[in-house]
Amino acid sequence: MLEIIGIQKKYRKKTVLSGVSLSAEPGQCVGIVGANGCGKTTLLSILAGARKADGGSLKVDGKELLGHPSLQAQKIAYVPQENPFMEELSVKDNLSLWYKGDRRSMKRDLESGAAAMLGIHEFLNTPVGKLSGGMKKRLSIASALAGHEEILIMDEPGAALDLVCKEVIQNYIKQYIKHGGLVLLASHELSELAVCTKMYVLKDGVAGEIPCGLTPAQLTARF
Amino acid sequence: MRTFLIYLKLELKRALRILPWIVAGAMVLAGLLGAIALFAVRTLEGGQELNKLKVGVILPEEDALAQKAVSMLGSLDSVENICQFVFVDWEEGQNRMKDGELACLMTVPDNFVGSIIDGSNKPVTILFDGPLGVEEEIFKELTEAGAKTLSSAQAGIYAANHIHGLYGIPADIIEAENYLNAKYLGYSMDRSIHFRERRISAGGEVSLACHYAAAGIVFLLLFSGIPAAGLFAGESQAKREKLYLLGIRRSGWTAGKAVAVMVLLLAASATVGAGIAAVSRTGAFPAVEMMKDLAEKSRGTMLYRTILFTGLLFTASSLIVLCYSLSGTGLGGMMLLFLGTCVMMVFSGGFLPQVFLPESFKAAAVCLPTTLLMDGAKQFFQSGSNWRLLAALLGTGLAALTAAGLLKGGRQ
Repeated sequence: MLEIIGIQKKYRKKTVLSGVSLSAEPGQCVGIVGANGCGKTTLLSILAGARKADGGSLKVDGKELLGHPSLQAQKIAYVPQENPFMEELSVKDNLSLWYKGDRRSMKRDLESGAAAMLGIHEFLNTPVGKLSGGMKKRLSIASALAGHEEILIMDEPGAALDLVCKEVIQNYIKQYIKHGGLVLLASHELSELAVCTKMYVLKDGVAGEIPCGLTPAQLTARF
Repeated sequence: MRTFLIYLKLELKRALRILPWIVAGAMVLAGLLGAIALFAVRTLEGGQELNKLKVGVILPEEDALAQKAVSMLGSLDSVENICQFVFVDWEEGQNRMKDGELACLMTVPDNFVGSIIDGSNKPVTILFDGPLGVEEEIFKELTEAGAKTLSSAQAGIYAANHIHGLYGIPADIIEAENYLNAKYLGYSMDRSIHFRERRISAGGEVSLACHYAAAGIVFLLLFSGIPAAGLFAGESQAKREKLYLLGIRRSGWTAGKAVAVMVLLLAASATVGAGIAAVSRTGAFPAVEMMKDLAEKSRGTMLYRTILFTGLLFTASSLIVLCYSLSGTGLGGMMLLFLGTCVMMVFSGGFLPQVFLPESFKAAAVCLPTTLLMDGAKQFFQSGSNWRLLAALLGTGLAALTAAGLLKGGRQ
């Protein structure tokens, strides 16, 4: 069970998040929508532990995680919008960093885990710089899930990807929630949002729940 | 710790990927710097010699003692190197000075030597024609230095006389005067003693060739950071955040980059060192002399020199990391590194030795890291060890790394 209560964040004098609250349960995919610059990326990076919040609470199964980035990293996998790789090095090299040198776990995942489902083994020795955007995104998800986290946070996972890659990623998200995982994703794409079982719109620094399956016009009317 | 070591291994792996660029860059740079240094050394040492100043000397009539004293003065090494005394009368001297043949006229007063002995010190009048040039300025300085030497000798002799008088042993005054005269004259005249023990060079404690070799080392180390821009490119916000989540904070990032850059600088230095060793086998100037000098000075101080070399690599790599952290981008870092190095090296005497620079430049250079790097590099061509300099080098490197880490933290 994920409980987010009153998350606040200011950049100097500008208030980006003024008290975001939402909740989700395992097996759910929560979509977060909102206009550009409304604070989606800030919220997700705070939830992942990459940025500090000015206030609020983040509880997983009743345990407070906010202010404990190492605990957050144990529970939450984060796939940022940009790819976080050393482009000159191979996929295998990059994976070794995210697996913290745990070769066994890496091998297992490449054979039957998230990395296998995302097809990472096909380009294991290719330098990351030579991969397509879709391959990099798949690698980014596999890297994020190196610790087999229960919650997967994704920031616009399908941005600038071709249809095949989008489908691979959406299929993976479906599998992930089917196995009891919880996904939080920020997106502008209806095809991605179609996977979501719960939706929030972020506006004026607060999150409001909205029904799933809204049309683009209905969605933008709420931004 | 394990994650940091893996990160460090990957940074080193990245560094090895750009090694060919670094080596190629180092070779081109070494060739370029060698050519510039050779040109500079030849220009400063060999090409142009200052003409000797012709000084017209007007002696009092029938004063053989004064003529002897002036002749003796003219034979001193330090005077002879820049002056040639020509004995003239007043009218001839005026005409030859107007024609530009004589730089100045020196009028020796009556009883010149007697006045030195009795302490009345009649002044010699020196007449210049028009504003002073460099050569005349040198002559003026030399004359003033000579007068100071003479006055200190006089003060010593008079003090000895006084003491002999006070203690009631005036009979020994003559012997004491003779002794002191001999000693003072011996020390002030035999300039070769000074030159045998001390090297006098525009480069300070090292020869001009070694000075430029030291400047070359600093340029090589800092400019090798330019092709290392690849290590700092692609440092996106996402990557910083993900590394942070892995437990690699700003200190880990900074240390990783510094170690990677150090390895690259080591590779660049090894390449250039091998190149110099190869050139020295062919007997080409100035490699042979410098390698011999280096081998001789290194005896018994290999440990110090190894630590000093590591210190130079560490400080240079820290400065490189700081440049890239300051700019925040690979291209900006390259520009900052290139321009910053060039500007600082002007002050630190990397282009023209500091003796030729204005006092304000010398004062500013004291605070610059390139001056420390230059001093450190010069240490290779000097005997003994200077642990204080080494500590200053390491301190500067640490300060640069800390600043880079704080900047990185600010961005995060």
